[in-house]
Amino acid sequence: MDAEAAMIRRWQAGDSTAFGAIVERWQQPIARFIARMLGPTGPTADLTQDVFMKAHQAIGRYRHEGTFSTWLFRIALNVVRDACRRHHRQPLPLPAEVVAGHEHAPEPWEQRERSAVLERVLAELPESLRVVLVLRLEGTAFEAMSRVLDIPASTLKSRYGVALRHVRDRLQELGYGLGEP
Amino acid sequence: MNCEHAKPLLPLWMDDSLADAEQAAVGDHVRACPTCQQEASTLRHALAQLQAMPLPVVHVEPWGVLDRAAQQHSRLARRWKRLTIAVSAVAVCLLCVLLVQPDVQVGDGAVVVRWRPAPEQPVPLPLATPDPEQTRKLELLTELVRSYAEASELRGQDRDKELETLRLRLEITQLQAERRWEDTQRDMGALYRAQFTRKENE
Repeated sequence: MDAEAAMIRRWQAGDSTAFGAIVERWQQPIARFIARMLGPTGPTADLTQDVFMKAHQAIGRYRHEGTFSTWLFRIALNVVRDACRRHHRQPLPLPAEVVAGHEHAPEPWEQRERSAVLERVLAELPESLRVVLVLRLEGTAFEAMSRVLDIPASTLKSRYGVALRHVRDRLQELGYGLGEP
Repeated sequence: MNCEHAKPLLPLWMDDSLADAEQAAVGDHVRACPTCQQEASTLRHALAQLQAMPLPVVHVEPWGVLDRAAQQHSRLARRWKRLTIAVSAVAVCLLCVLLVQPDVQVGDGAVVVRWRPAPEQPVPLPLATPDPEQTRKLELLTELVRSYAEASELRGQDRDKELETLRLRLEITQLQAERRWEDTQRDMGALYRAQFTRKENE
């Protein structure tokens, strides 16, 4: 954490190498967050770049008070919300054909189908529940999540339980529950 | 603890996000309850599937980001410059309007803009109610003036008559003087002739 703080200070001082190191460290968590929030066919790469661009523009105002990940995920969440607002839509359930032709093939057919179902189930969740589940999947603590979303941690814990149970129930309905193929 | 209390807490128990005492209590219950064990297994399975979901691998080029940030910065700077110019132009226009203070009137389907305000129409003074005493004095004064004018006119007429009389007398006097002069001339001529005729005869 100290190394990261030092890196951020160098970035604030205008060291682009430090910025590169921060991008290298955080690009996959941010991309995973965006992909889970908008679905894999969404503009994940472009929005990930947007997140780092906005972070770069705002780094001068960053104070080393909270954790850097909290600050960065807040920017990512704003970028996701802006993207949804721009397209006037919420992430939609994905048709199977789209996922079948997804660029991350080749995967076994069953795995692709399972992936499509998971994405659809996630997309069905309201944003308030999905964001909690997605941030928790990234390992974000509820207290940190509370700072990102400005919502009490107790509320977020409750939402996490509701979201996970909804996913479990929908997977069972779609035939992907425990003990099923 | 029973199933009713434990079930809602299972996602957080699996996540180790409960307070220590609660974590231990739910754990004790789950170990003893096959229903909750099954519930926890299904939740764990769902969570495992979510974690195993294949996601796109993204590679962000830091230099590309910095380049985009610089471009956006310059775009913003240009936009601010244009905005500043527009605001300055509006401010100058407002200043001109404040300095000139045009008179704008809207009505009858027309907008009239004058550089100067319209000249104010003189407000007619309210007529004072006539005072009877003053009216009487005014009438008396009018009568006096009229009498004086008439008297003056009569005096003028008398003067004209006197002048006419004097003129006639003067003419008569002139005629008499001419006649006397002619008589004198004649007498002188007669005397002269008489004088010189007698001398010649002598």
